[in-house]
Amino acid sequence: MAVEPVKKIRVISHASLQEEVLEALQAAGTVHVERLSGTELLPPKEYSDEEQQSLRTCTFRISQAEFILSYLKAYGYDKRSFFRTIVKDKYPMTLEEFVRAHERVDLDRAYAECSEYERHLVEIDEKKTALEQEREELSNWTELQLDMDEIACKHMYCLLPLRVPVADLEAFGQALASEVIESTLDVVSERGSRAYCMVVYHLDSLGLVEEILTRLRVEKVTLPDVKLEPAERMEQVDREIAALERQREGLLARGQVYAGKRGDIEVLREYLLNQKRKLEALEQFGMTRSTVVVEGWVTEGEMEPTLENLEALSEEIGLEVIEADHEDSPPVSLRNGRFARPFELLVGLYGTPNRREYDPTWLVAVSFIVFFGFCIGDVGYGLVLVAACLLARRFLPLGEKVRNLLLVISYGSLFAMVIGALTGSWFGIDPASLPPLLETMAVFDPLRDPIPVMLLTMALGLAHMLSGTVVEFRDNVKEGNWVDALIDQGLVFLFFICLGVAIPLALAEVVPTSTAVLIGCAPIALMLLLLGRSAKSVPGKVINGVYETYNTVVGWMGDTISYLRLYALGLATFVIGWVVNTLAGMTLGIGPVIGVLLMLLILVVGQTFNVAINLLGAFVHPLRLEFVEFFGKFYEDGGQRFDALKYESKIVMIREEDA
Amino acid sequence: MLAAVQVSKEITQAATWGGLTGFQWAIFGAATAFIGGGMGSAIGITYVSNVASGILVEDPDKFGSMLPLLAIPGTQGIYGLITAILVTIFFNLSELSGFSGLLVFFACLPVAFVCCVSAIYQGLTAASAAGMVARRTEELGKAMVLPALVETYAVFSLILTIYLFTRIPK
Repeated sequence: MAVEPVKKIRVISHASLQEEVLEALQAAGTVHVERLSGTELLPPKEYSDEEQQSLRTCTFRISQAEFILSYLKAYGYDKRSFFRTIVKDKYPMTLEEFVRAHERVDLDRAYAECSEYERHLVEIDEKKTALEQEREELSNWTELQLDMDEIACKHMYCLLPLRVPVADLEAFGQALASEVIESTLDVVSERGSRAYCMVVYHLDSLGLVEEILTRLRVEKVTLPDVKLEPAERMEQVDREIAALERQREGLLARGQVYAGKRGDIEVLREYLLNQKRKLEALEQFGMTRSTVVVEGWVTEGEMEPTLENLEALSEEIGLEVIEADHEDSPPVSLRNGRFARPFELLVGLYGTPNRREYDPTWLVAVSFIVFFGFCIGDVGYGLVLVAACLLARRFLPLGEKVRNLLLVISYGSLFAMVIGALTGSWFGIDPASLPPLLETMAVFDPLRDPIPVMLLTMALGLAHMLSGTVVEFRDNVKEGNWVDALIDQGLVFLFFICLGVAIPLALAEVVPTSTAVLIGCAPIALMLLLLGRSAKSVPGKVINGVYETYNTVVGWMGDTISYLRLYALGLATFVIGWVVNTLAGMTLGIGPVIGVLLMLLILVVGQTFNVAINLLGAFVHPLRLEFVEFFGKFYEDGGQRFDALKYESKIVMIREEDA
Repeated sequence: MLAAVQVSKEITQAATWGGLTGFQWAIFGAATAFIGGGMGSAIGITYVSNVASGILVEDPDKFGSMLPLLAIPGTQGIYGLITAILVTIFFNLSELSGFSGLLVFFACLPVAFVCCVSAIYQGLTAASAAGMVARRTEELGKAMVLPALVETYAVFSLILTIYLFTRIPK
């Protein structure tokens, strides 16, 4: 439940051991390597020619792997189902298997062959496209019984194929007849709104013909210059296209061998990315003429095994543990118990807490579970979600983040079952139709009597935000800011204490209403006096005081109302479920078999939709309450995330015992 | 004074108001709520879909990340539907007076208007968030919270409508 203490270690080794040290650090995965500041004594590391070459080679090999994978995807080797586009393939393996990824596939050969295949395939596709276009044009000229190499200007006369809009054909014919005396126009075919014509004219009339074509926007057609009639050429084109398709299929079949190796290539790419990360980490090192120095942060819990690992490398390695001083800004690693650990994911979405900040993970864990439970608020849906999440965790190869997310949803869904029982919501079934036992468990009726549930959600919200204010009070006290703690947070507590006293007194008529109002509003007077203290001038303090008081009071009111969304979202889940059930019930009257089948279909599709859409809301809205209403009261991010140099990948699952 | 009270009573208990029965006013309100929410959601989803389609052309693997953003502006349509259903659950429509029916109609208006506008703007926000996810998939969590901020007022409109339903004489 806290930010984990970290200590700095310094590793000094002979330059010849650099590779071993780097490898050991990455394999251990416990050291957040820090860039060494360049001092005269310890200048930052410069890459040697050999290291630069290694980095270039690594980058090139990554692009080779990327190319092969994109080739496999582009040419349909990598067809994925809808489910697999969402849940990516995962490769569980030991670290030893991972570092030997290059043995599974000959990357250079694969790259050479795939790029060759791709070059040929591009050529084939280009040729095929050109032939298809030619075929499409020829299909308009099949009635023309004339070798196409005859269509040209020969012996004073020209043959010109044209594409004319049918609507303009008559005008074109008339223009030609009246303006170009020695010419004839033959319509070869009509396809849709276009007529395909052949014009014969005397070479001397070339200018006139061109002028008519431009005026009437008639298109010239270029037919292939071959000694074949269009119909014959079309058959030839069909044969050429078929041959190209066979050639294409042959090439694709040869590439099939790499489709089977897609997984190996993906793993290799991940390994190479890790290699690159390792080489880039060299930049953080310091160096002298013959030594290499690494500094990094290690959590207290990992310190001993890390030192043991490094000591085991060689006797020529010097190790030093250094206490952080006030000039250091160590990275932040959160340490939470088994229950709260998955919720670090939610806190991380907002940003890593500042090192001096209280780690709010367990508060987020408890509140998120409660809010999620309110938003789903149904026993049946809660049960389905818990089962689905646990099954997915058990049987699907998932990354650590997704596994944690499923655990978060499972906890929330368990609480949803509690809320569902208290509100009488069981798969959206009308509470009046529930068995008496289940009906008696329901203490709230959010549908017909919404006010108690609304008040409950607002009370929860108030408690949530007050816990955030307590955290800020604690942080201020810890840093010695007693004045800020007593005024900024203390007055808020006083305000709610006074309200807590005044309201019961007024309701019990112990004091007149005016007195209760005075008691309730007394802290507001103090706020007006004290909240503007940061301004320098007296008028500034007054204006600032009014502004801050307004912000505080109205802000708390608005934020509290914001928690009403929990009620609305829970009600939405119930009402949609109820509508689905009603619709399904109506189909029973259609017929004994079809009716039941339709009912089942509507129930399965409708209830799945309801769970899916409300799961989205149940995740996003509580998260918003955490980030905006809760974190707004105290949380400061800006901490540097503890990011150890380690083997990591989104798709390769390195088994923990080997990592 | 008594006469005024009597007139007021007659108005509130009359079977029709403005020529429409309570049943007709209530149905008018329910339909208006759904039309507003549904139209807004349709427009909002269109905005995100346009951006998401462009992203998916470049990288079809991002479909899983885009899906939640595509679904987010759809909730206002659901709020409209819930309001319409609640009209039929809360009130005995056949016995609703004309004046109460008119009040049901007015109570439906917050959902009709606010959900329509918020879904459209949520769609625009989700479209921007989709652009953010296209560049940095790991920021999906943050990207989903931004459109949720816009939905706040749609949720409030639903709460207000439900609260108003509880205040209408049945």
